[in-house]
Amino acid sequence: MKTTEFILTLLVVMGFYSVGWAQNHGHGHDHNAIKATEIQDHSIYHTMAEWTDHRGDVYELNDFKGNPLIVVMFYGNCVDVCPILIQDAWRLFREIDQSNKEHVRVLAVTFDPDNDSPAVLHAYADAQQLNIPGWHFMTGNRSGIRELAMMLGVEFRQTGNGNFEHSNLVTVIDTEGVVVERIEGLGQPVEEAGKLLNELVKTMEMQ
Amino acid sequence: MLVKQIINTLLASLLVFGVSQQIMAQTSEYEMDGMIFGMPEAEVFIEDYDGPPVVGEYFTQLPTLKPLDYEGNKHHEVRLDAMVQEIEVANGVRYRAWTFGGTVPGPTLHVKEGDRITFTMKNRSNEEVMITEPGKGGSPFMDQVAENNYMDAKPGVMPMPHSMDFHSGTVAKDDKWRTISPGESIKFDWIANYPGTYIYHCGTPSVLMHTAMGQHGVVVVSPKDGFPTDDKVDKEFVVVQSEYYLSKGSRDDLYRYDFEAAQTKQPSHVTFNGHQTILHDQPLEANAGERVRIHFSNNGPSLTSSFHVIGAIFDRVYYEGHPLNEMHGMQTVLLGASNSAVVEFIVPEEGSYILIDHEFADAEKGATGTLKAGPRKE
Amino acid sequence: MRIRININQVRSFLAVALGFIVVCTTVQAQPARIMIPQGSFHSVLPEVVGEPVGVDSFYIDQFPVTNDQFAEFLKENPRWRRSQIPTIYANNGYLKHWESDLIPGQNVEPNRPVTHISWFAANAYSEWNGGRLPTVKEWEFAAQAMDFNSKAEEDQFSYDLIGWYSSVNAIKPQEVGSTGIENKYGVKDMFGLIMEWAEDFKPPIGTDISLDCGTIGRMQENNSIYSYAQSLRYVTRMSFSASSTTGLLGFRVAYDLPVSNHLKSGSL
Repeated sequence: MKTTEFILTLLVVMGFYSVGWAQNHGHGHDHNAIKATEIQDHSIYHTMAEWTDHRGDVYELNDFKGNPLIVVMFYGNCVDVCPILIQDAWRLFREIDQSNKEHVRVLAVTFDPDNDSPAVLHAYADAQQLNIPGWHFMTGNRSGIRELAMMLGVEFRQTGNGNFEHSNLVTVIDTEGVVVERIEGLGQPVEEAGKLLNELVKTMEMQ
Repeated sequence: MLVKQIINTLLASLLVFGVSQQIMAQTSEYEMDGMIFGMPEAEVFIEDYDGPPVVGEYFTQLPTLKPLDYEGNKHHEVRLDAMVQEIEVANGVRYRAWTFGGTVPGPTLHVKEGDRITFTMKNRSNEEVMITEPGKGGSPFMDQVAENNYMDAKPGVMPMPHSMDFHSGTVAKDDKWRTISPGESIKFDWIANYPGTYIYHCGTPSVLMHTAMGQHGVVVVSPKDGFPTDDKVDKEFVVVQSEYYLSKGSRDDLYRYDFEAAQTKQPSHVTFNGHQTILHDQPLEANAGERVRIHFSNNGPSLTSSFHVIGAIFDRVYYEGHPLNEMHGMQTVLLGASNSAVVEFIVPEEGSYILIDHEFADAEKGATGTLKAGPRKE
Repeated sequence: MRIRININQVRSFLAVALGFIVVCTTVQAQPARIMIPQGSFHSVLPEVVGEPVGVDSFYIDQFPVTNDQFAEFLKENPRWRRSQIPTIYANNGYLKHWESDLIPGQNVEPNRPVTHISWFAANAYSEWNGGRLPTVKEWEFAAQAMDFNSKAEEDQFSYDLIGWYSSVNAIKPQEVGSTGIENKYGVKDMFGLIMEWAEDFKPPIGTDISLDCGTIGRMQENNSIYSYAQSLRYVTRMSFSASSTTGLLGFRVAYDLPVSNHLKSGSL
């Protein structure tokens, strides 16, 4: 009988701890109130750059904190490679369970802020048939774009005729902004990353 | 309600943990002809390590070799960090070398055919590292160097990218031999699939520069069934030949890398065990009638070696250190850059024997050493 | 009433006025920026093999950024201080040689190039200073805008540079302006002092230039000692990661045209 009491006390204590933990990570973030100390050491949310998406909405990256992310970098004038890369992000998005999709955000960020204005990005999204909820085709300033690329490990440089040489990468980012999966190259398998995204959505619901 | 929350959290974390373990456990190791291939991907990471730069029981200073005192195979966990040391390579000639472990050549590793080695290396070229204070957990090499600092090594700083290429390992070079920047560390496994005496060296471009600057050494992989002559060997040594391309710097007394000399293969010094006179100052020792085995490696970077011991004939030469590459009665062994041989000779009588690169232009630049033989022991 | 003008009074007035102007200009002078007019150069990593690489005009700092200047930036931007910077932005060597968050200290003199800073910190400073990091093309173009009187002179310069790459004692960099090396526009110390960050220091490279034993050979544009030295520099620069910090790695800022004359607050 003593053992049962002991176990029950233990469970209650654990319960209190987990409730306390859940309250600290409250729902409904006020993004302006997120301080640097609340951001994990390896999180991309340390960047303070501003972004504008294809709908004309302005964001700071940590507006997406709390949702798992798929991030891909491309540019509009890239005619052969980038469409494949964007479709790779779409294939990964399709792997996510239907009920989980609404919790995942997809950020397609341009290398080319001079050319890829929000209007241009809007036309691009329409052409790709990816002007859908949760998807953001984003532009920003030169420094912010390069900073993001450095954090993700995407290499690119501008070539003489306004084009860009670049590496191809689809990144999965967890709710804290930490990179948890990197799919390098084009046309790569996405099942494992898809499973990971489903798991990340599950951890969201636990909080 | 609380209990349900707890159980759900536990289940979810278990699931995430399980999935990630599954992804990590996917190695592609396979066996073929009794050898193991398909090592897992190398890890590159940042660690806060400031302990001894050479860790592993079987790392020793030239010309010694630690005997393998175990049955069957062993899993070695070793560390060999890259760093800068100011060293003496000949009387009055000092330069700031790029090294593994602080000496040129670097420490010698002894393992057995079939052993697995988990190797860690930190690129410490951006920090000062003392090698003459044996710390806890260091290798026999560190104790030996502290006692016998014949290169008069002093710490230096020169942040450069570096990498490691073990000729004794069979792996994908773009993964395991990859370059890491100063402050980064790399960790990977390799299997000693073949016996032999193998060079290790830095593979970062310019590989001529990195090797000539001092980043090379030797791994001895002893055959799992030994050599046919094992029972007869009385003394075993490791000797490494290498070149230096140095000229006097303009600013201070230190010498520096002479790019033009290196490109045209005109070394300033050719040495045994990294120092022009060390094998005369500290000769190898044996007695008449004893059988001496030398693991001799030509680490280059660019020249050949015609290795001979004046006064002796090699009773056996196992070319490249493989027991099946057995040759008899050779006066001289020709070794290209990164070739090696296990040579054995009987010391005929009391006296002095000179180890020499019979390409005399090299010999006169320092490619000589002494073996001092005492009287016959009954 | 006639007003008599004493020549001595005029002289004194002019002397004072001159002194005043000199003091004003030196006190208010900001670090000089030099215009690099457009052109092309031979790169060991050309976009099209065999062709020179073209670069548009831009401005660049005459000297690398110093400890003092970086301290100014940190005063206004606390999140980049040593005690606050997250690991994603810099490894644990970040400003480790400084006495404290804001004070370089006795050992680290103010007029030396700031080192032990990561790419992210250099990028943030550049933005704060109204500019950006130079691209590799821009940096190399500016650095290589040097006039050699003969091939022999170019070879000797390259030979010394390779010697510097292999033998410099990186415990403490020299003072800015001390190398005596300047390009034909007056930009100083692009060689011989420190390695410098570039905006795209890690260009995407194919598997044929994969930083292995053969890389230097494949990078030889024209088989000269000069391009050999260039290859070494490219390889070293490409092997860093954005959070790397070393005692021999600093930066200078580039600026798009036109340059505004507006002095930023808190600058000298």
